[in-house]
Amino acid sequence: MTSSDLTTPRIFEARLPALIIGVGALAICAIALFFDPLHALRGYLIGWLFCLGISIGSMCIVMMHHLTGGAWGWLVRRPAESAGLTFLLLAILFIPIAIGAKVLFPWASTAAAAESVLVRHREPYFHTALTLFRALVFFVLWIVWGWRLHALSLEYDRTLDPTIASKLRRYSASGLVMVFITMSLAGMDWIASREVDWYSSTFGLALIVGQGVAGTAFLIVMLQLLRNAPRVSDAIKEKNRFHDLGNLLLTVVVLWAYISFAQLLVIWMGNMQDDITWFYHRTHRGWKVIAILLITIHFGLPFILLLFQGSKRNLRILATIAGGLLFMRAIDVIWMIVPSSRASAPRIISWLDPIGIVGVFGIWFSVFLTLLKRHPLIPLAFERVIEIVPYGRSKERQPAA
Amino acid sequence: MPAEVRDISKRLFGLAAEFDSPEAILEAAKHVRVQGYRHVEAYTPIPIDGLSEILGFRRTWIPAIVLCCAAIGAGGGFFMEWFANVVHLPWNIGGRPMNSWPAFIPITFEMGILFAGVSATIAMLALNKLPQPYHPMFRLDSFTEASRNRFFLCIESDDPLFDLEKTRQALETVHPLAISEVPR
Amino acid sequence: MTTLSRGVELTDDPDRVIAPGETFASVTDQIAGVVQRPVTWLFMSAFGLAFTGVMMLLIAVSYLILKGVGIWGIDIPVAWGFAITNFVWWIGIGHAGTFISAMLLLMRQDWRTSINRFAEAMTLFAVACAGLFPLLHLGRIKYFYWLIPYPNTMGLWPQFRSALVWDVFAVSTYGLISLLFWYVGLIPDLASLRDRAKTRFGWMSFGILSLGWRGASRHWTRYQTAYLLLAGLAAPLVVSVHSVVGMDFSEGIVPGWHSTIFPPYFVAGAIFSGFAMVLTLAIPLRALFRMQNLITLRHIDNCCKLMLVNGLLVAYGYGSEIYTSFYSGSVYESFMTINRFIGPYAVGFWTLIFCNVLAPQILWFGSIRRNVIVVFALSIVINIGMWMERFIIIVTSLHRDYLPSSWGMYHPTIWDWATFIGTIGLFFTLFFLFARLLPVIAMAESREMVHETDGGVHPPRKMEPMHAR
Repeated sequence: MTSSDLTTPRIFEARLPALIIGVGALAICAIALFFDPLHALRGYLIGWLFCLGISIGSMCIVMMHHLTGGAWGWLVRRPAESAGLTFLLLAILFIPIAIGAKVLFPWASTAAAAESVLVRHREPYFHTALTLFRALVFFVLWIVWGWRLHALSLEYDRTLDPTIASKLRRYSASGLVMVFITMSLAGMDWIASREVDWYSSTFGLALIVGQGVAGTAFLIVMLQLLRNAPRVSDAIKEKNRFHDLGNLLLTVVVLWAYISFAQLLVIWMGNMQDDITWFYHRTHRGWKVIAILLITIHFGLPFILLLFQGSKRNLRILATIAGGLLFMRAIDVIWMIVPSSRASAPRIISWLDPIGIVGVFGIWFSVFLTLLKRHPLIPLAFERVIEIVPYGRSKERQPAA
Repeated sequence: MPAEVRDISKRLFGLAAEFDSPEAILEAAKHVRVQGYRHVEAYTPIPIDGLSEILGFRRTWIPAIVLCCAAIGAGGGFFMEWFANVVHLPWNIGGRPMNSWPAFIPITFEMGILFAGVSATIAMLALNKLPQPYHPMFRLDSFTEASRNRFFLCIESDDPLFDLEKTRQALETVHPLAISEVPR
Repeated sequence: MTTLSRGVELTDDPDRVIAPGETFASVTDQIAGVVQRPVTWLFMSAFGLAFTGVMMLLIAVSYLILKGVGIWGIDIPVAWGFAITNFVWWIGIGHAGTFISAMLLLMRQDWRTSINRFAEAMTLFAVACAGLFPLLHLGRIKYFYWLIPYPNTMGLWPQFRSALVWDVFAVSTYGLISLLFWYVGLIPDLASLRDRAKTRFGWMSFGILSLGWRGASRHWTRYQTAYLLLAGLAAPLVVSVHSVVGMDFSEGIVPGWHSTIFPPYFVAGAIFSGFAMVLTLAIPLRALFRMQNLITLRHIDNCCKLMLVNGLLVAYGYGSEIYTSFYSGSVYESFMTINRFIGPYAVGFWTLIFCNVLAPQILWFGSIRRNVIVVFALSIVINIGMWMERFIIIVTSLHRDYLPSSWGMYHPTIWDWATFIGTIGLFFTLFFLFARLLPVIAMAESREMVHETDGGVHPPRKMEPMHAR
């Protein structure tokens, strides 16, 4: 480690304030638990899912980069790996959700089972203990992969041993398969199952791509926050590098819009009561405004802006767009969670929803920064692996997979 | 313009120098541009980035044309659907609204792509003034190699600085494989 | 960098996309040489076999026009039989060409250069075969133009809420844009062929086709802009086309069709089968024309990896459909799935699971990906599996839908088979003609490859390649 690497960017000073704000917000949620348990827990769930999305998305990006190569990935590898390390924290933070499952999820509620024949139909698969056990399996897998990807990457940093690189590629290929399966199942368990009269076979895919948007946007914002750190500022001097992160962001945004629209179109054209409720609840009573916001600000605006080279070659503009998308991810999670409600309860946003997001994200971000700070912000292997050619295009020595 | 010069530009299209590598022709192009020649064109078997800019090419309008055509195609596509299924032949299909915009998106998209793609091709050919079956460069015997492994730099005779001897000397300083006169 | 001498022939170095020692002249001469070589006995017999298929197709189509679609096995409830299966299969195969050309270009995967040209040609021929089927399926083929919106005295318009009308726009746009993409890419190569032509006829025809291309630097700049734009347009187009094909099904509320994952998973399936067909064609092609130095093992390996990725997405789609059908709580949905498992078409279902899900898993092993014989065999298996997938989706969903009283079976007739095999003949006939008459590998782009990867023959380059702009 070079001495200049020890100069820490100012964002690390945010660790304590983030933690304090997070704990404070969660304390409010905890108090609210006594008089409004549904909304308190729901806000917490929203915040938790938002952070989970960033972690899963970031881990997917690391794995994709191991498989495809390219200079862009090295810029965000450490933050992405650190986000992948937070699964243990997320597993611990899941405990209140597991305890409050009765309030949050129809599958854990006897009242819901009495109301709906579908809940009873799904009983064998969504047996409370089984569903929580599945959650445990998902967490174990995510923790193991997040840890291995980080540890092996550090080892590669020290040794530059090609066998470790190929091991990383193997972990990445199998990890992507693992995430697609586990996250799709988890999405059904924790999000889709809350809308009882609904099913959609592409929900998992749409969710994972949405998390990909969250991950990419978060990593771009982190790059902007870390830009003054010595080795980071050297690494981002070549505009072509983060330019590719902009292209990646454009790709995932378009992919998200495509899958979401395909899902809407198929259900809208089918117009069957079996599977229309999701979109019915999310386009009526004011939710239409949110839906239009999702179309315009989660897709339209960033899409148009990211088509221009200029906005991808200026890190500040790119990070602003990414920040907006990250905000829209939170809106999307609210849009996915809040309108699903038991018939008796109102389907409206509560003041506890943003509090929950601030609470969980504050704690998560503080832990994330602590994890990030332990190691060089840009892998030491970067300069050795990237062969910098004088006219801005860099080649990688390791064979591109 | 003196009569002699006019004569040359009637008889000759220009003076062409021949190179065997992209790097050589880039150097040569820079050299003759520094000397002040304006009417210069390079003929190469592969695209060489920066070469046309060195030779004075400013910008291409193709992206702007394509963007306009894409907008016209997409807008026209949606209008067609709206006019047909809302205004001219309204028909209730399973209670869906007349203006079923989600169902109109696919054709809107396809029409946008169709117009954009066709306009990109046509604009490229039109701005390049292709098809053009005859060009003086084809009269050079060695020009068949321009689509294989030879790189030609031609200073055209209507360049204000064109002078058979001086231009030849200017080209000789960049060490081409050969210099030939290109007849009209 | 070490200077490699000319004469190093075949390379098994996985990182090379072009063999060491190639020069601008050598790649041009080699690729153009294929076009100028005399026809061989082997070629003529293969061509003859394919052409027999075309004859069979013509007979089958003539009889169809004479008699009507009743000569096929389609009936109620299974009104979409082979014709739509074949349509989806062919259009799916057509997707790899544009995927390779457009998406890989945008992703700067420069290894695409050696395989993009013939993959694009493959796309065109596959789209041509695909386009036949909906037209033949119309019944009254002479009224095909009713599909196109035009003001008419009947005061009628196509129903734009119908996915079948979207299909008309999607497939015809796709055909046209693929043609333009292919042709624009060919222009510099046609000029190369014009300059190498040995006969006056060849010189004239390539001269006309090349539009007088002379490689002027300003032309190249506009050319590259247009080509990149076409790629940028073709990449989303390729996704949209098979999504629309998927929506032909999922828009209908038939159990087994009405599934939201159809659009993305049809796209993955299309690219999956397309790469299988690319490998089916590329492996014999490189052996036949001795192009192992241009289509290297790296190409085979990368195609296999992409095929594996798409195969996994397809498997994900199967899994998601099965999961959802049981999750939904709808008896029709779960019955449909059980009927696929153990119903009358169970053999077909398990065949497709073997071909598309189990067999491709061997591609996880690098040694298999570099074994051309195994890869060739696997590509055939996947082609079969993907045809079977469309058959199962169409037939099993239709033959037992909501009303048990109208259940039935589908029995293809000899005319179904003749039309299907006939289009395979048409496809290969067109492909053989292409391989003889036009360069199967993009020459200008191969020259660029040489320029980018040359082993120290030239001083270090000072330019960004076109893909990096």
